[in-house]
Amino acid sequence: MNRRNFLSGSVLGLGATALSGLMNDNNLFNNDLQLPHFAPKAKRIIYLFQSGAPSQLDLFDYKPKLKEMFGQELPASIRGEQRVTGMTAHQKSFPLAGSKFNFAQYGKGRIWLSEILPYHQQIADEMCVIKSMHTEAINHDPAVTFLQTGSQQGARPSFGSWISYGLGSENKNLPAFCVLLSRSNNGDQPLYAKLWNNAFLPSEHQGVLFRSGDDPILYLKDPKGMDKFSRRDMLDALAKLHKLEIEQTLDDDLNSKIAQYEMAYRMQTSVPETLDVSKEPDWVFDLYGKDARKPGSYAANCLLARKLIENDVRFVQLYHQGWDQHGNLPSEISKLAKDVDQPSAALILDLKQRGLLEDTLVVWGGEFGRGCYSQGKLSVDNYGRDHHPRCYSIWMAGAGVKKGFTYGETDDFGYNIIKDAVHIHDYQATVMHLMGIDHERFTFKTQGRRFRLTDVAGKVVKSVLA
Amino acid sequence: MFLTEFFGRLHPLLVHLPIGILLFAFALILFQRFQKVEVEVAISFALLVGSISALFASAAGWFLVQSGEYDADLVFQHQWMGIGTAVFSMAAYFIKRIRDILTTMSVCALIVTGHFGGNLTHGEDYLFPKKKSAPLQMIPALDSAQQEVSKVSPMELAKTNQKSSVQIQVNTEKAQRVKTRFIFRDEILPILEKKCFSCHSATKKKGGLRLDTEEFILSGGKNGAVLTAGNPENSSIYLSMLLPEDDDNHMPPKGKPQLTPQEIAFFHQWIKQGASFREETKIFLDSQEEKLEVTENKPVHVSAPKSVVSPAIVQDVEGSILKNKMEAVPPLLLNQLKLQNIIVSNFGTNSNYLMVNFVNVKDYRSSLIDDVLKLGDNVVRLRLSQQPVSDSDIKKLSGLKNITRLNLEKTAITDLSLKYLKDLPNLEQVNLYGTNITDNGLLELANCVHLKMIFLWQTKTTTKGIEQLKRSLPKVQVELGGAQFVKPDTIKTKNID
Repeated sequence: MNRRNFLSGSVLGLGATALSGLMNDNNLFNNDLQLPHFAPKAKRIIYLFQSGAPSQLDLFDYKPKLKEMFGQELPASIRGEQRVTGMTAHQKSFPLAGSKFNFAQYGKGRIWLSEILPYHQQIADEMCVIKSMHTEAINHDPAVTFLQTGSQQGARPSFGSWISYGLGSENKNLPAFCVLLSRSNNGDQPLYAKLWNNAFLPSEHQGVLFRSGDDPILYLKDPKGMDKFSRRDMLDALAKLHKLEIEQTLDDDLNSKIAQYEMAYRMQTSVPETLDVSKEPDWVFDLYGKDARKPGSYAANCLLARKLIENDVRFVQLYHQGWDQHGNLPSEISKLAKDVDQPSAALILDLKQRGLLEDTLVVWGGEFGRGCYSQGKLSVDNYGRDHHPRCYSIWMAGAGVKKGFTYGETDDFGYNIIKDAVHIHDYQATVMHLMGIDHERFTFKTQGRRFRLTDVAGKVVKSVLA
Repeated sequence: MFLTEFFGRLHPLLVHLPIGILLFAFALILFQRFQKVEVEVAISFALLVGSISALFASAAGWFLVQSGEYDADLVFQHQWMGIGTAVFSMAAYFIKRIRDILTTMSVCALIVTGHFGGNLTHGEDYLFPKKKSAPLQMIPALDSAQQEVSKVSPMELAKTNQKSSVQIQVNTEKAQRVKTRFIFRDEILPILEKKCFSCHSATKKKGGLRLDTEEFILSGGKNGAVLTAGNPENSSIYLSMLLPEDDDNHMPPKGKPQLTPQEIAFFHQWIKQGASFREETKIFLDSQEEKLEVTENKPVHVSAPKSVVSPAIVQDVEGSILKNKMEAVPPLLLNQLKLQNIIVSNFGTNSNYLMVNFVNVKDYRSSLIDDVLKLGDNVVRLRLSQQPVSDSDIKKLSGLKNITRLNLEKTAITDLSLKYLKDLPNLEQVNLYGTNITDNGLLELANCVHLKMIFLWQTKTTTKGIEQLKRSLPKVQVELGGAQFVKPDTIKTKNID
């Protein structure tokens, strides 16, 4: 006789199940995890993930020394023991490649920005740039997985799933964790659904991917010939069957299943309503750029992100693919910057005027940085950059973070961090903190141990908190 | 010296051994008697180990008393009962004939010892809280309700210090408002009683410091005086409250109930004005001084060394509200709101303050506001965005005094609503974008003194109205929205090189 049979078979079991049902009804707030731990500064997150690793040296981290020493070898003392990828391991020479682009300082915080981010320059007063991010992974998939789940190997819940599980959704008609994808070219580094997976958390906390076009979520619409009422009847009958099964097995996954069927039903109306941009006035498209009219573009996704946040969605995850510039970096990065510069900045302005930036946190950044030496042939106008995990830059804006602020410093070569390093787990701990969660206390027990997003590490970076 | 002190400090640990072991010996005796089994060997052994541990505990206790942190009278009973326990248990081990009686006596002595010991550590009213008594007999009973005296000069007031309320005409040019009050008895003493006495009074005098009579406060502790009348920055009693909680010298120590900013402000005020233990007179020379007055629910500016307390923390109205204790809302009420699709979330595990959100409400009606009103002062943020909220609904909100953030964007409110907002004294942020308000309404907000942020995008307000408002609220930030970018091709990039 196993535990389940014992519980369901005995009087005690009946009593206990009845009691737990009662307790759930009396569940005071959205969850019974006793979250948030403390008063949150941010209630929602928009994560603008720049997949492929944007070059910090051509966007944020201004290094005049690299221009000065253009073409000279990267000193061995700087490189140290750092492993390089197979793509540059064969290179006999590591010539320093200063950025082709001009930099200047903007806003009250004198934030350094490259000339290819002209719209960012206009929101510099809202930005909090961290120049000292570093990671352990050196290739895309493990690095993205690390950033999203706190572990390079995967099979752990995504950041958004943790937040959804921990804080629940304010808007009961939309998923707490929404995912939007866009790309610049075909053939970019791929992304997988595991990145927004719930792993061992209850499955309703999986990120819901919104596709571009008429059918944002597949199979959401009723099939031809089925009306709303039959759908409702079908769901009611199905729920009854599920509940019968739950009584037999006490399997919690079935509760998740019921929750997801119901969510899908509610989304049949809420999703088309929320994602409809046809009523947005023209000036919105001027603000986000004309790409915003093109479904599936980064600009369109930024606009959708605003609409989702306006409806109190907890975690909106965007991915923009295409930053992996091993060669022809100057021309490639200009193109990518053009794709994301205006929409990212527009999102900040738009949230601000609606008062949403007061309790929404926006994060912009990739999975690692790019090296200061050229991959492939270096010329005055052209160079490439290989992966570089030792330092890179991201920025945040909005609820709870300092405005017009730069944190962390790298050396003159932009190779090593010399001040205020921020590890991936530190960054995750900090975002959790902004959401009112103590990352060390927020755990989920499975397979005999307690797991958390920050694994066994992570320190809140207090200096970036407003 | 160090060793004996260390051994003494082991006392609280050691005492648990005899308690456990002797009680177990006693249990064995009962067991033997009623179950008719033979466990004499075990009883002997338990009594031996128990009595030896009692001996050690007593010795450690004796060394602890030498530290001088405990009151000799109170320790007396505890000490001798403890020694008695050890003696009786030892006797029980050796004299087998009357072992039952001796063990019973030892256990009785043990219980009494334990009780006295508990009183020493946790305070006498820990187990049976006494009704409030006035421990300070030294204060002359004076009628000192706050009294207002007008036009009194400090000189003359000093002459008439026996009478608290006298009208005196003086011919000084400036009319002065004078208030007399007994700040020590009314404000300071209750704080000391509540948060300091447990370690600094008759029962326990940590650091050689007692705070329960005037003489003791003035004579200070091992490290010298704690109070410099008139100079809070030089009074360690005040400074220790300001240190970061992690600091070893912070008082009350980490983990004990802390002083609120308001209570700290009282100390500052009291010391600044001479730290009098008797009736005290305060003279307001100008209105600036008056601002030091502490009123309930208002954040207080604590003047302190800048490195220690940042004034920004105190300026944060929401933050200071969240620090105040608040009763929880009945779960039934929360459930009722949940059923109406009103989202209520809290400010953390230990907070009973609430954020209320109407995002899921599809069929808005005024009665929903009435339901929210039942939450009362627990509500700190309210989000009514995009609901057809009317002016009369806003009028009702005056019942929610602790609201700091109010979202009314895209609602049906008019200027009339803004007039009602002045009944929300703690309002810090109000979102009015997409409403029909005009400059007239905007000016009503001048009464919301804590207002820091207003969202006015897509309203009928004008820059003229905003400028006028800023005259009353110079620090308020206004978000006008509608920002469009400067097109990049029109920007001249500044070349660094």
